[in-house]
Amino acid sequence: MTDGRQEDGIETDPELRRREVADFRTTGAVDLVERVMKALADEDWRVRKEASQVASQLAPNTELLVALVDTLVSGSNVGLRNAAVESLGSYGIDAVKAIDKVRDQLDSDGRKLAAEALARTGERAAVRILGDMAQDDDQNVVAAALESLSTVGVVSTGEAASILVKALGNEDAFLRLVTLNSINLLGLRIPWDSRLESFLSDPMLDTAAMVAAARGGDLAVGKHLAHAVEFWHRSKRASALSALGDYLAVGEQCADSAKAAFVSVAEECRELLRGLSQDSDAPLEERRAALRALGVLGGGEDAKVAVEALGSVELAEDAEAALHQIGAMAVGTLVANAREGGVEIRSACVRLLGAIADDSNRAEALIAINEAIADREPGMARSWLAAVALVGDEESLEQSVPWLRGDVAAQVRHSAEVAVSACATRYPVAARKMANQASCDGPDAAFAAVVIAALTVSGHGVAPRDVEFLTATVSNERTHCRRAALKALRTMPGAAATRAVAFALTDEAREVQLAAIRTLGQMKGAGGESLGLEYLFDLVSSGTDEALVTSAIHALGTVKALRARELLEGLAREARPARAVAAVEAMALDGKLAGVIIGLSHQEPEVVKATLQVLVAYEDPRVPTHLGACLDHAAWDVRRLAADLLARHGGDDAKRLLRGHLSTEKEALVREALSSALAEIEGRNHPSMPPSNPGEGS
Amino acid sequence: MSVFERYPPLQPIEFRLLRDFVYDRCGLHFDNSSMYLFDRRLGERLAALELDSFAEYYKHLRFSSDAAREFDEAIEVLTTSETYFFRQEYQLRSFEKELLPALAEKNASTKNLVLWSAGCSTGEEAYTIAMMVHRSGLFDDWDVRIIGSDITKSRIAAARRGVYRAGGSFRTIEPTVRDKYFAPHPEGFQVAEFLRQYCQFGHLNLMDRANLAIVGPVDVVFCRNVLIYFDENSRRRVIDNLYRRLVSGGILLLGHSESLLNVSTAFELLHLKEDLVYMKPMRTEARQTL
Repeated sequence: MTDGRQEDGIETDPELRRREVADFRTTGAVDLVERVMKALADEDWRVRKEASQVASQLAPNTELLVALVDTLVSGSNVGLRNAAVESLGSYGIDAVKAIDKVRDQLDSDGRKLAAEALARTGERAAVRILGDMAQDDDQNVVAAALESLSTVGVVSTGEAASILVKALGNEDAFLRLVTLNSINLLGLRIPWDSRLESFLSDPMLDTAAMVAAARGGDLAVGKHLAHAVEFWHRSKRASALSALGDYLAVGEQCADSAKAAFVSVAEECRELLRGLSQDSDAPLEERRAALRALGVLGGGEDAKVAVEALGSVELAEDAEAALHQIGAMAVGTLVANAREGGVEIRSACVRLLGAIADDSNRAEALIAINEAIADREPGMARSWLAAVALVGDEESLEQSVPWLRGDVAAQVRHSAEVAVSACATRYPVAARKMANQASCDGPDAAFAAVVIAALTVSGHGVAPRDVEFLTATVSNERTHCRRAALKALRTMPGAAATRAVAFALTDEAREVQLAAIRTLGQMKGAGGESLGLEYLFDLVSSGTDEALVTSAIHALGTVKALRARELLEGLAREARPARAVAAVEAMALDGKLAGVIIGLSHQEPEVVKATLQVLVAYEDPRVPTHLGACLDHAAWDVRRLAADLLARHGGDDAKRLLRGHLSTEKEALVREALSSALAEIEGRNHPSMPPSNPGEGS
Repeated sequence: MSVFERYPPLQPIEFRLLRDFVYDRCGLHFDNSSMYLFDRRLGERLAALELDSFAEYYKHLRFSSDAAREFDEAIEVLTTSETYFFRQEYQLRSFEKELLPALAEKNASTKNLVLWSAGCSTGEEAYTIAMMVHRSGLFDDWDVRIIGSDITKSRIAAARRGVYRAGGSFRTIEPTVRDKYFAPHPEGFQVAEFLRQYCQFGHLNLMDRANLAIVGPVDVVFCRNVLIYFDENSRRRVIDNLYRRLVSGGILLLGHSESLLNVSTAFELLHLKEDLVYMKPMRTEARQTL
């Protein structure tokens, strides 16, 4: 062979041949198709791989397409045929039509390869052809068609689901398994019926059937899951536990159904799950699934295991979910563990106590929560404050005061503001009394400011000296007190308050200046008019400090006045990207689409990208059109983001736009995003199908 | 550089670079006689930053990530001047005995009084004004605002805190006045809370007209011993900015060695018993009051 090549003047070194093939992209020879096809048939895989990529990039070369399809009709070179299949995907709808045309001439191997090629096209028309091929006389062709639907099916899930549900009636167990796997890969929700139920007792199909059944979310599936968790062999139990996780995620009714079903589960099974969740040698996924199952089982012993798992970074999230699921029955265990053990576990227990305790055990939980404040560890403080925000009482409120003083981390102080605000709303009289004791000049002025704001917002009234107190606190020597006072002043309309807030723009501390700007945006007069508008206007038009100017632009978004809107529209066209982005974001606060889309015409791609991210949050039928228009933007990263965001937006319009661009987009990264976006939309839809045999469903 | 070594002396070219940079950034002007001031006071910054020359310090001011904070430090050391409560008492007596009663009469219908200590340093002047307003007894149920502004943030923070060591700032204050308006503090004395409530401090450059608008309309501006830091052009701009902030009939008080000669003709001179002050011309109907 080597000698023959030498005689023909063909390069003997595969690497040199590969490079020659790579050059086909630019050489454009008259016999290009012939040379590409030769390369696709090369004995060396590297050459074939390169040729396959070249053939893909030459799409939509009609001559080459015909040659590629021809390899399916005749030929025995496996390497060539596989390489051709790989390339055909890039020819999109042209490939689908060409394959359909020759389908009758193909032998069984050719039809099998055709199914694989169709899977790669990402075309809706391919799904219909695969549906025909799923009726083929040859089992291998049927299997290939059903398997191919797991990928190309995303572009037409309804059609794919119909084909696959029908295929579940195949006599051959292997074909049923392939079908179930495709259903699971597409994330389809299929109806629960006697046939699917029968699959659960088939050792070949049971795990795939259980995954499909769980996702369907029929209430009858709960007892089967309980049975599977209890009796299935260890090798299959992971699938059962994973299916249980999917089932619980469907909704509350499923969780209740599972809970009822698990009542009958034997103690040995519970013990086994506890052991599994604690077994550090077991695969992580199994341990996590076991923990979630324990949440459903819901006993005191299970709470202990879950609490123990709170100390593990990998398991903490599932442990928390399990404890939430166990609910009030976990409170005793949480109380005990809030008092002893490592700081992570104590901290998590305190936080969970706030979230889980109900009327029957709130008092017990509160004692443990209030005891925990003796612990000065910052992580513990945030958990304590989170619990206080939910269930804290007057005592908690009093104990929160030190956390609003200056010598604590900003994050802790923020948690304290939330906690104090919530407690003050629940205990207004006690909160007012404590606030009245604070001096505007002292370290507890921030506490008082938070209380005053909470009482004002919750309708518990404004004391006569509140405005005076807060405006005086704006001169407090502690930065956080000044900031808290400014935040509170947003609820107190009036000239004196506005003046004090505006003067805080000259504060030496950046965080106070920014708080002043935000407050100016939110201060409203008795008639709803903006009190801070002029100050913000001045700052935006003559300010030189970009951080303050962009913050003021944002604040203008909360003003909701015509003048502000006009200014923002002008700023969205500003050459300085930071200002333009801030203007777009500010207009988004107003909720009107017309202003926001100005950012899409900005010359700077970063502004366009920021606008796209703002746009996707709108519940407006025009959004997909605007996102879709950016699929034609000159900057590839804008196109990619548009594809990602269309996926997030979802819907038929988004699908149509994505599909339309899949065949024309040249940039590989954007193509990838377009495909992923389509897959994501289809996966999320999880279309439900009618039962294949009406009347058999539960 | 070891602690025993002195930083290298400031070269004329370095002085010019630094001086022009300061002028460009905030309008403060230093003539050639200030070279010793730059050498001595900025030399401390060189030592603190462990820099080897004033040229390096110049680069630090212009290009380092910490440039803005260091510029504030530089301005602070360059413009440090002695200040204390009740400084230039003869002028303050005029303010207390003649101007405050006139203002009480002029603003009686609005019960609003805004006084501005422009270039307040660490706050002694603003608190002095607050003490005089308080002890006059003329403004007890009024909305009184005493604004203190300075170009350096650290001085504003100090003014806001209102804590002063015994001695220094208290050199001319009567013990009875001190006991009335100050409370003992571990670091000396702190201005009483009720007095501090009158005062608001902010970081402002007197050259920055747009930013000064935040101050709002003002009845009296104290701008004493501040104009010395500006050249003639900048001085005109500062005075024009202050003029715009003053209400009709508003008063401008300058330091005893300062005047508006060659700076502005917009003001009228007002002769008080012990002092001369400048007044923004009143609209005719209000002219009878002052």
